[in-house]
Amino acid sequence: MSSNTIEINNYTKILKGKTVLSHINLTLEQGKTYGLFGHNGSGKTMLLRAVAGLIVPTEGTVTVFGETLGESVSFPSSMGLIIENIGFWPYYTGFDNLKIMASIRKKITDEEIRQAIRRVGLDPDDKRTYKKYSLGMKQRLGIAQAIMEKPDLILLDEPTNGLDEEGVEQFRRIIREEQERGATIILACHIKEELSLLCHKRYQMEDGLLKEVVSS
Amino acid sequence: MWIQTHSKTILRCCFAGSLYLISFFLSVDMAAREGGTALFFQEVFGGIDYAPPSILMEILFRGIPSIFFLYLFGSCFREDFLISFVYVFTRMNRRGRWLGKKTVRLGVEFLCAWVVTFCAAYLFALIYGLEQDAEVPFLALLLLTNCIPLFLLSLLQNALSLWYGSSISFFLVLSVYILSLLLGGLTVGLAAFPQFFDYLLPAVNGMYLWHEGIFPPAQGTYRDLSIEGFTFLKSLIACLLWFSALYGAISYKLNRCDLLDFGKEGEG
Repeated sequence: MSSNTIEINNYTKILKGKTVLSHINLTLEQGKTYGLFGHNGSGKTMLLRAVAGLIVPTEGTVTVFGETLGESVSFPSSMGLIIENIGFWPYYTGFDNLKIMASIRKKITDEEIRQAIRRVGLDPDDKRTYKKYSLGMKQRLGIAQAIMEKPDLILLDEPTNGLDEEGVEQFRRIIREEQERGATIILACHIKEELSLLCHKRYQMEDGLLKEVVSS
Repeated sequence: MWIQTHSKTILRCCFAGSLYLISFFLSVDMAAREGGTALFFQEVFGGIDYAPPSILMEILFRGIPSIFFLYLFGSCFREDFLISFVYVFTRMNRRGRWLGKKTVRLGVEFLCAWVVTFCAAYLFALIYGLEQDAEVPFLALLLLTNCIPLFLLSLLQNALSLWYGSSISFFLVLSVYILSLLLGGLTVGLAAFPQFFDYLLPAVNGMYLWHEGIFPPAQGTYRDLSIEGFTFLKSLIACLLWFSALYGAISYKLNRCDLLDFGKEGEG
């Protein structure tokens, strides 16, 4: 296994009798940006969950930069993600929420947390609790959470949901900055055109199958 | 921010033993008449009386404060999954690491709650002017006898809550608690019931007065519930084996399940 690729080998996931991912084989190079598109229920989110280690395969393996999930690690060692419904503690501010999460790995300082919050267009000194955030603000905080520790792998599921035009433009700028930093990024989006602007390669998913490779 | 983040924990540790206040009031007069602080602690924390026909009433009466402990500490694991488990869990690299941290934290919080309860009991006895005859080794052993078996049940409850929700897990563990005490108490002295089986009933290991020859009984003791051969050392070994088996089973299950399953079944 190469230590600078993500390898998904014959990955199959069956949930309650339904095949949600079917014999997925994929090799992703470090430092590139990949897009997954497809209609709702096509398996995009499930594939991201597989790479994130949130589900265990019925068959197959995922190896992220030399580490096979479920063996030496449960989750990729250096990962940021937005997936599932965004969840933060409702009665803490945005900064406090990120500070709690950053305290787990203890890799970054308060100033770096503040920088991440500013990058997404939020105010780190905003005293409003998360409960009072708009949908767009919640999404922005989720993006800040995903990038604040400068992870090697970034997984983003429908990252532009709830963002206004300015927010989408800021998001695109962040992705380009992360690309320059050398992060490997996997974006799942149901809008094909959004992916064409940002990704080196795009994959279509349908009914749990990786249908075709489309180069950007 | 530390207090804000840990406020729930602090409140839990301070109030978990609050229902023991009833036992304090009910036991203090007799302790003042017949003995002192040692008798008071023995009466409050020594365990239930298995002499029939009162065992069920005893479990319901004396067991309620312990049951309240289980109730308060029953969702500690599940709390992580109700809001942001993805962002917290995935930062820990290994599921086992999360389980280890949560188990240690549960154990420390549990112990703190029991220490707070014992301190409150001691203060109560002091205010009532009871003779100070309780020695530290006695109090320490009484605390551990109460704390360790209940912690095992709490660990089981927390694990079950991940899959079945808070309500179902509480009722399952409550059933285990009551049935094990019933089974242990009703079979005392029965030749057909192997005495070693008592060690397999976690709630029974928590009954201080059922153990043989730990310390001389407190001055004024009138309840002789000691079971021949039922020693504290064997109880402790049984608890350690229980912990190993339980932790191993939880770890095995946790490493092989989808994290999506948590926080959705049963109540939210």
